[in-house]
Amino acid sequence: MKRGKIIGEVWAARKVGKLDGKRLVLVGIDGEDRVVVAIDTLSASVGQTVLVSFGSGARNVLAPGPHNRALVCDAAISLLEDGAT
Amino acid sequence: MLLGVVEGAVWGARQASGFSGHKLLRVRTTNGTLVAAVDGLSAGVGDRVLVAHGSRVRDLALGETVPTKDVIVAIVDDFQT
Amino acid sequence: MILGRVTGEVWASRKHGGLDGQKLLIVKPHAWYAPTHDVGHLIAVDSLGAGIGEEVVVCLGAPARWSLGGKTFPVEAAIAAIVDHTEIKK
Repeated sequence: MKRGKIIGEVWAARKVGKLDGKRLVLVGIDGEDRVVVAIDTLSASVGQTVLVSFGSGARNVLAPGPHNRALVCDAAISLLEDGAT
Repeated sequence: MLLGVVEGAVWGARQASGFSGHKLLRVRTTNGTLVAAVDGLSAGVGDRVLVAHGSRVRDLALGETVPTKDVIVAIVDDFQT
Repeated sequence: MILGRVTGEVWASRKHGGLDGQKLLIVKPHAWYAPTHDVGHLIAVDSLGAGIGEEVVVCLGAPARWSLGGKTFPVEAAIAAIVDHTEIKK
């Protein structure tokens, strides 16, 4: 998982079947020069600090459990940060 | 696996359901990157830890429904380079 | 996943059996996320019918491979969405 900040949103009407209706956001990863497109199921707002899960961790955000391999998703917002020490 | 130092904890009221009951820690790895990992060992701030990455490790250490691939698998007492 | 633009299409009559009937697109990413590649483009399978010039969201790695229904396909990128609009606030 990586920590990052929501920097924008992506709208796409045509999506792979299982992603229909899911929101896509752009996340800038902390301390790294990269931007990731992630699925957001937690309704994060722009500017918010979040944790992004990748790979099978991302699929577990959308559909917990081992039998979720058909999801075409490699990044998802898994937590909206309220605080950190 | 990566060696790192626990910098602090992260929490949020809105989170993926698979995280409930798990603690999340911020770990600065020896190659300088920051990862958020699930802690199964009650590591504290300043502890040197081993972070394993991958779904196999996650399945064995935490379960198949936890939405992360980074797991703290050891609190390091000492190491030699 | 990453954002990119479709810059071309690849046709091949001789290819791995798993790619039969799959449309292959050349995508130039706007920004990379791991794994980074030395070349400035990648080849993605497309099930949505994206056209050249369109902006797309590309899924990388194993989830892309599984989009064809198994882990034995020689695929590392798949089109996950065709972008209508993006908004970025820095």
